[in-house]
Amino acid sequence: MGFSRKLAFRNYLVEGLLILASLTIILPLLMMIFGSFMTSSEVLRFTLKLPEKWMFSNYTQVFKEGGLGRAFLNGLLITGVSSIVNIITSSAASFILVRRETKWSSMLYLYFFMGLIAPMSMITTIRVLQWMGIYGSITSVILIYSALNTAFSVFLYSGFIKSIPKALDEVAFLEGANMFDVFFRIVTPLIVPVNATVAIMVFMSVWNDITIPLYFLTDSSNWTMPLSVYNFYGKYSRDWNLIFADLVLTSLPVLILYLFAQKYIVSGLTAGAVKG
Amino acid sequence: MNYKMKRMAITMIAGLISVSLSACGSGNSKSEDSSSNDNGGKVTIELAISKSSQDSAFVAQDLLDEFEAKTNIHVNLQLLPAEQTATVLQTKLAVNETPDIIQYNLASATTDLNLERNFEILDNEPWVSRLLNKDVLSASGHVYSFHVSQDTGMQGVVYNKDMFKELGLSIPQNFEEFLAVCEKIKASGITPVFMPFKDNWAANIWPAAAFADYAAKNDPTLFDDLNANRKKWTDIPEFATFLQQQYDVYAKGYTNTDILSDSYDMAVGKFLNKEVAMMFMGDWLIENVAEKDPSIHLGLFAIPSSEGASLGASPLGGQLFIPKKAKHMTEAKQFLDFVASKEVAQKIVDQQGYVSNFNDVTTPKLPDYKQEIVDQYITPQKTVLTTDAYMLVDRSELYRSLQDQFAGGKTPEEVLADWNDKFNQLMKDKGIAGF
Amino acid sequence: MNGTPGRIEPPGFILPQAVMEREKMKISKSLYSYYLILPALFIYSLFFVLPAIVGLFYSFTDWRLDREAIHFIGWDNFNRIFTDKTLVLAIKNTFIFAIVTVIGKNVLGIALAIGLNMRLKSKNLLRAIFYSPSILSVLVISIVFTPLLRSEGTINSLFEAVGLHSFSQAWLTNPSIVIWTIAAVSIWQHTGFQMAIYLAGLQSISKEYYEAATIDGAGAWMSFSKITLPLLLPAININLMLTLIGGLKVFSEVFVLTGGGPGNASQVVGTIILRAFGEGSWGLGTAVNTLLFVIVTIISIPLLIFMRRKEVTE
Repeated sequence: MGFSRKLAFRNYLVEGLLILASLTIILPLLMMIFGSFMTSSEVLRFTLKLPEKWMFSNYTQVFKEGGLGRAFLNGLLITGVSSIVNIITSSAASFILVRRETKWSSMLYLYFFMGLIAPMSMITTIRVLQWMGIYGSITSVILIYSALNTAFSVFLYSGFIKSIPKALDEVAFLEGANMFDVFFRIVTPLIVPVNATVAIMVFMSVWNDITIPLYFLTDSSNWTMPLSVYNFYGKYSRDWNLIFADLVLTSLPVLILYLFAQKYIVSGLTAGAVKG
Repeated sequence: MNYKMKRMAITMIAGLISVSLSACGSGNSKSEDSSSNDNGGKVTIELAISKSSQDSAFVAQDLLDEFEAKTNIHVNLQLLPAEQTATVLQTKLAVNETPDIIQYNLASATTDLNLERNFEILDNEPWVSRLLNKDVLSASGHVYSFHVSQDTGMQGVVYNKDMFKELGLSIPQNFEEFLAVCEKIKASGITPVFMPFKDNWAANIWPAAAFADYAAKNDPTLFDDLNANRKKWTDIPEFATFLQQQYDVYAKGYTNTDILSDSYDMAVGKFLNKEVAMMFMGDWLIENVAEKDPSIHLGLFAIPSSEGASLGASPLGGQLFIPKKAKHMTEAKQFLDFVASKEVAQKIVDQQGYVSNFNDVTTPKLPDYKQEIVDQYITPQKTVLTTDAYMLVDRSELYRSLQDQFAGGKTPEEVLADWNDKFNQLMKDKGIAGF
Repeated sequence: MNGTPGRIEPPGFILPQAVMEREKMKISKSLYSYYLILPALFIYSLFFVLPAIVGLFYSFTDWRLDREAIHFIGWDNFNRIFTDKTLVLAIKNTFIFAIVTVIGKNVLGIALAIGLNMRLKSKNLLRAIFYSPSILSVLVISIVFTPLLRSEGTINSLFEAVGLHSFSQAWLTNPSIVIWTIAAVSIWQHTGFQMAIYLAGLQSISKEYYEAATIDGAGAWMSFSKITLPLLLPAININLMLTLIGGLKVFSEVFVLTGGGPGNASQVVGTIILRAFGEGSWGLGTAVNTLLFVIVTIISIPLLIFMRRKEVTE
């Protein structure tokens, strides 16, 4: 009893400290959230105060003027498809790279890893897409995002798949399963938390990107949500309240996805893997 | 087993490709909807414009709607973030994926976008014969751009006339008088000068006008000499004096305290709240304050760097250009024709208070501040094109050096020496003779 | 663990078993067919590697937008780079930023992950809160922090309020501290990201280890250094590499907070590249990019190989 009470006390202490620390995150963010409900002159004071009058109309205004409905769907299509393509291809590749401990697989691993370091080259990428005849299309952007995130995802997956003992595959192989069964029926369920983690990170980086659409989507009606914020950057003044509202709306989908994915990050314990 | 695996691999790749193809399909069909002719031969042209210029009269929605109703050509706007406009356009021009129309500043288009290589010469367009002032739309002898106005922006000291009246101040004619004015304003509890030098270009307004004023009066060929490397930026001691003047205004405590944290977008607010009396800026600021609160009276006087200085004039900006590689050249030209037509041009000129550039479009009554500028500076020919008009290379390093005078304690001489080095390098890279 | 009742083996003891497994695996290695790699390899090579490699060749040219022809000029661009004193400062700033953020993000990231892996009531909410800054666009960071960091801004007022006058600073405008401030803001924003990876890593550590360790009377520090750290090594490896590479390639935080200013005080290699492009010297800009690529490679690849070896022997 004494022991568990001590443990409980320790947990309260940690929880208290963490809540305190979380204030450093919450307060600046609250400034933004409150600001998004203020009038354009009130928000200029940049202080942490409740709005004098809650301007919910800021949000409807932003939604209409920023064309957020369309931008949201564009973002969902682009981000969703490229994340799915990226996750399936990268996790499959990593599985093989980790399992085959040959010189070739190490070389390939390094080849993928270099993608974290190497700079992207805009002009030559555009040239490749022109050559294929898909420059300017949503498809081209999806392929670019899948390619750009491959290095990151392979790197993450490789790190985590390594901690799943091969013994599991071994048993499956002995029972006559083929590689696809092993990968999809055995490994994939075990790496659900990793999938959730990588998914949220890839989704987030694609969702927030403001560069690729500018260069690769010729039709601005295909642009994504983060770019909408520039609608509220005037030449002479900035409507911070609208900018804040726009940023809140843009961030919301990723936050919701994180809350949703969190369940899997926690619940999909890989206990079996470690026990094996 | 091997066969089975192969089959599965192929299925999987096929699956992936079909995923991307279906996305492709949706992407293409969407862009076709808006970019080519499915409902009755409707054509869509793309107009690229910096988001910071989105209040430009040329992209007003009712204008675009009217154009579409008349010609069945839809104008789609590509709004580019201000800080990325140049690089995005450069890239698109380099790979021949150009919008059909671009709004840009003529002077910067010359330095940033390689005017001659990339843009269509408009000399033979029907509206050219009606132009009053071709020069503001031309470079190297050709009309490259389009605008209905010939009203170049003016740069100097924007000041609050009401405050000057209340405190019994008159417009300073030289630097000493300017300091005296500052002192009196400060004594009344108001910040005399607002310096938003987080935006380093704002530190260039004073020197750009002062340098040009000096050159016009003392050394008319100075900028040609600088551009041919016959003179150096460090050769003119007065330049250092002018930089020192701007620094003194700050050092004597006549400005906002945190000049390196304050940015230009705060300026309107500062004038609206009557926190500041003056600022080194262009007349566009006056217009913008007036939009928010017409009861505040602002005016403009010349940068008082020397006795009776001239008012700085910036080159005309916000022109429309047509890239040589535009996919819908005819339609793009049709758009210019439409805007140039007497009725439409008249409407824009009236709305914006422009000085008309067409012989059949009348200039409306100008706002007070503009009329004053015309009476006090333009009519007596006391204006001078600022340094910017003469520069052939990117100036951002000059702005950084100017900012460094306030942040890093660089002396005016060091600022000029740094810029001189960079200037030489940039001119050499550009392949200008003499460097 | 079922096979060893009564005694929980620390991870190191699994080794003999692992060796045996590897022996067996040699037979079935061919089962892991390279076909599964092909889709990723194809997309990655065609849309990233190919253009990137071709792009690097521009480093050796005088490519400019305002000139029609492109000429091969050998190493000239690189000679230029090394005579540019701003670049020297930028490299110094880049390293300061990288080192500070690697340490900050990882130490705080592990601490947060361990705290939030405990049975806390507000665990899920707190995780989301700490993660939330990293999902925000970097624009938010500039908008929110600029007013906080002004010399009469909120942070300095807080210091003044508690009597720490000497702590208040011109955070973003004093040339000698500005890069440290930007690093701190970056830590604020991205630690949650590192935390998420550490959390995923912690999920793969069985609770049984800790229970056994507590029964054996091991203290918190013991279980941390003997169980958590070694088993977290894959996650540490990932985060170390990600923060290091990200730190060396830093661009957006600097760009939105100061644009490299005041003057050139907070220029990093990433912003120097943009500067070169902005001045129209595309060949030169590409050369700086190539240089950055080489620097990051030289630092990170040996580290990667070292960390991977360590992981294997663990």
